[in-house]
Amino acid sequence: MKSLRALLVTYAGVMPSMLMLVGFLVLPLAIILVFSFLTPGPYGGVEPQVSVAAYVKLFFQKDLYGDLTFNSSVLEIAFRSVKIAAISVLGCVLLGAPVAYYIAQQPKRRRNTLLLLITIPFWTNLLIRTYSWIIILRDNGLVNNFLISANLTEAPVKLLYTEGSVVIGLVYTYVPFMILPIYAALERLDAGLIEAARDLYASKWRSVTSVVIPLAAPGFTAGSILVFIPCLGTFVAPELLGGGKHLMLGSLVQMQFAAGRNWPYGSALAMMIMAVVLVCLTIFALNARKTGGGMQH
Amino acid sequence: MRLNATTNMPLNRLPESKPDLKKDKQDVVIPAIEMTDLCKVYSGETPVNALHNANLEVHDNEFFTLLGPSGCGKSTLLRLIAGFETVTSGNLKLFGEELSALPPEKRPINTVFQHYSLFPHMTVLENVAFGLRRQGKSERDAKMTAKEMLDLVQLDQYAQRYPKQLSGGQQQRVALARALAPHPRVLLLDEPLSALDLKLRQSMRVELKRLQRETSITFVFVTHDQEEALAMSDRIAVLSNGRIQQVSDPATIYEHPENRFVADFIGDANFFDAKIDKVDGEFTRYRLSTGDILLGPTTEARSEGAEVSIFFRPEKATVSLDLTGGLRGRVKDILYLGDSTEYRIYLADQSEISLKAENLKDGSPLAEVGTDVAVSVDPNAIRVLSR
Amino acid sequence: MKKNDRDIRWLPGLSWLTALFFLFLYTPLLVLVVFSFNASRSTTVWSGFSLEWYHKAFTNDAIRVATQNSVIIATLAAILATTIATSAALALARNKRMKGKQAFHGAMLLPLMIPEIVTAVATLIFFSTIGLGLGLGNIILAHTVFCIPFAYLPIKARLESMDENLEMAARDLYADKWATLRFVTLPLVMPGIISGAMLAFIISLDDFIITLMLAQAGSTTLPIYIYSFVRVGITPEINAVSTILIGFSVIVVSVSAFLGRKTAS
Ligand SMILES: Nc1ncnc2c1ncn2[C@@H]1O[C@H](COP(=O)(O)OP(=O)(O)OP(=O)(O)O)[C@@H](O)[C@H]1O
Ligand SMILES: [Mg+2]
Repeated sequence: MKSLRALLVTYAGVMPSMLMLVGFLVLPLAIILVFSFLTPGPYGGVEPQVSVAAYVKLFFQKDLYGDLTFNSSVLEIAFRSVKIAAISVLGCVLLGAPVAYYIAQQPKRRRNTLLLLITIPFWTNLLIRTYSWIIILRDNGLVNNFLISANLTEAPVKLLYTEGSVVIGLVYTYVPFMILPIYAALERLDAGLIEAARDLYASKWRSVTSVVIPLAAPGFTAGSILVFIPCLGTFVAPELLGGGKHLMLGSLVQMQFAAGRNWPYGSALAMMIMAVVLVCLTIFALNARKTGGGMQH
Repeated sequence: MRLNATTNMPLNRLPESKPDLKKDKQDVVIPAIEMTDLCKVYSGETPVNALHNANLEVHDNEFFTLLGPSGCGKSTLLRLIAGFETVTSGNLKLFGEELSALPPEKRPINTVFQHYSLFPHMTVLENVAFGLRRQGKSERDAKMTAKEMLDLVQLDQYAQRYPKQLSGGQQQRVALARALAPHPRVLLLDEPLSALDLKLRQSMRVELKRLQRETSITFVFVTHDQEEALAMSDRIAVLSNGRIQQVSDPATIYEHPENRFVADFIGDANFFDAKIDKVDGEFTRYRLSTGDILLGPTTEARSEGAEVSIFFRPEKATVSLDLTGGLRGRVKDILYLGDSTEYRIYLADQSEISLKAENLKDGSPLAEVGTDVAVSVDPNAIRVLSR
Repeated sequence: MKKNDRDIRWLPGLSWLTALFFLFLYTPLLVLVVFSFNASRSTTVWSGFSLEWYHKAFTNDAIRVATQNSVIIATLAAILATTIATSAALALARNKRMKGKQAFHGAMLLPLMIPEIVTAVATLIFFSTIGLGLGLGNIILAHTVFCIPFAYLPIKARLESMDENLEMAARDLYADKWATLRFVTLPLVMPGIISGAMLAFIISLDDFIITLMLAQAGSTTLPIYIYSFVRVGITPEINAVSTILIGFSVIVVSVSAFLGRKTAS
């Protein structure tokens, strides 16, 4: 009894958080895993009948004669989601890394101010941030107004409701998630290492590619994970900037719970997202171990 | 003779150089701190055995110093006494009462931390009053005592400042006042002077000694600075690798170290491997590895032919241009040190020794680099250790 | 900057790129703010200054209710999340005997590792399965869980940068565990707790997907309201509401950053 008490005292501090996380996150995830193997009810909900129909529906559809034929539309959406998320990660790296490197070089006060400036838009409402891009990109928006008045084009260029506009929205939303970890890695980087590289006849750029980037690798990895995960399940950007035409996994899932009312199918889709996330996390983790191991030598 | 006597001296016996305390030996005095076979192992992936079977007594009202190189376990010992770490095995008593089970707040022991650890969100006065308040004193009484303590360390006009607004030396004294205010039975000080500059450190030495005398509190002081230890302590315990090497008063530690580590760590020493050549009453002839013969004191329990290690301190030898006696060598380097001059001398087998001569007159060197010299050492200044 | 003053890490074009980046970051917000003061209905053509849209926004009942809901949810979720995150951070940082700390730490960050849409549908199914229908309460519970890592991280950072010897010193000066917590640890960790609470508040205020899935009639929040509006047609009224929200966020984040910086030194 005494040891139980000691155990309770030891773990008392973390218990409330763990109860909340298990009760309202892990348990719900387990439940949708179970639901994905049940039969849909007529008005949402499920009937207690085990079935793999939801998973079958991911890849096949019933044709007019009731036979199953392969249906690639979900796979296409999944592929598009991964593609858009990956391009967004790349965009964040290309945009964020130089900025992070620049900030890391500034004196301390300036550094803090710049970091604050980067985080402020991040804390403003996601919808508002995305909505502001509609104003800029639409046919009579700022960019097109500018292009027309500068006589660069006669008819407005189609910018909004493309995959490109979705990527822009995602990069804009998540680039702080990339900059902060890279900056953290670069800040720890000893300027003496670059001095050493330059001293040993490496050029400016050479010292960046052979010293700075390898040493900042953990920052790139962390940033990529932090950007990739929300991009993969994104809902707002494709809805608002993609005009609902470039369907992504997030919207597809949401639809099953709104109009579609097919909970098992929606659950199976959610599981599919989780599977993609897990695969990507594993790849990243293996990668990180490899580069981490290599750095020790 | 002396050497042997020191070797066999029980750890807790008071040194003969303090006759006024000598009668304590007969009375039963309860030591302020007594540890028997105290061990500390830091558990972890690779357990660290930071303290091996420490046996030690610290007397009441004593300025006791733990001296040793970095990582030898000084802080560990101190933290065990304070209660920040749990004892792995062995006993730890405070005035005869077992301490091991008491949490730090139940021990009438206070600590001056190495980096002061003043509470940054409290004023100097609140810092000093903190312990008194926790002891249950009323706010008024606590503040009053705290003010007196600040007087004692001459910081009364800084009472309302925050620690950040004080210099390092002032913060140091606040830390002292804070630890002394609850009037602990033992005060622990972990390298309290290491962050101060040389001049301040020297004046703080005097101040600490004064505070110890005025408050009659037992001080256990940790340092890796041998000069500090020799200057301030009543007694010193030398530690190395988690083991207590020797416990004695400063003079004994310096003059009669019990082993090579202590001899080497405290002061400089010229060591030789030697063989006892001939015992001749009070003195013995030692044949050095260089082939030279050196006359030194006779030690009991060592017979002719025994292999020993002998050493002498640089300032105990003299260098002369008259080559008729002592060790033959050639001057390799001369280092002018202000109050003295150090000579580095090659011996026949290319080993190097160092000598120090006080600069009584103008400090012009007694010999030049490259000259052949003879080094002679007073036989009574030679120390013999077993190998 | 003089050429010989340059940092050894300097690269050509870096400062220009950064400037362009900040342009990219702030232009959309700036456009939004500017057109909230537009006199006409257009959100792209400037036709004079007016506060009309602010007036409209303030007198709009739906906006008022949505704002009220948002603030209630965010306040309660932030308080709950911060409280339990503080207790977990303290336990993880200071409890020597606890095993599996790394696993607990990982668990605290779990909500960050799961795409929000998945969290949203899982929570929706869970609540409807167990039949929990607390209205705003459902949203508050879900937000609390989602905000845990945001409250936890600043507190943890603060605890880690804090000198553990200060707590030792308190114990040494006759303060027991609780007195140490009350008089030393909590006052010193407070800036971390405040920034954690502020971040949790903003995250909850900003949340859209989870709320969209869980919201029932009557529990519309500001983001949900904005979303419904954006889909039917854009009016500068949204710009006005957005500007107010941006201003609010800027204030909260700046204060929290200022507190963090002031006490970090
Ligand atoms: N918390 C700990 N966990 C594991 N090992 C420890 C811990 N604290 C100290 N040690 C190890 O115990 C040994 C003694 O450390 P201790 O801090 O007592 O040394 P010290 O004599 O005070 O050194 P210094 O003069 O550098 O302060 C060292 O080898 C150290 O690495
Ligand atoms: Mg130490």
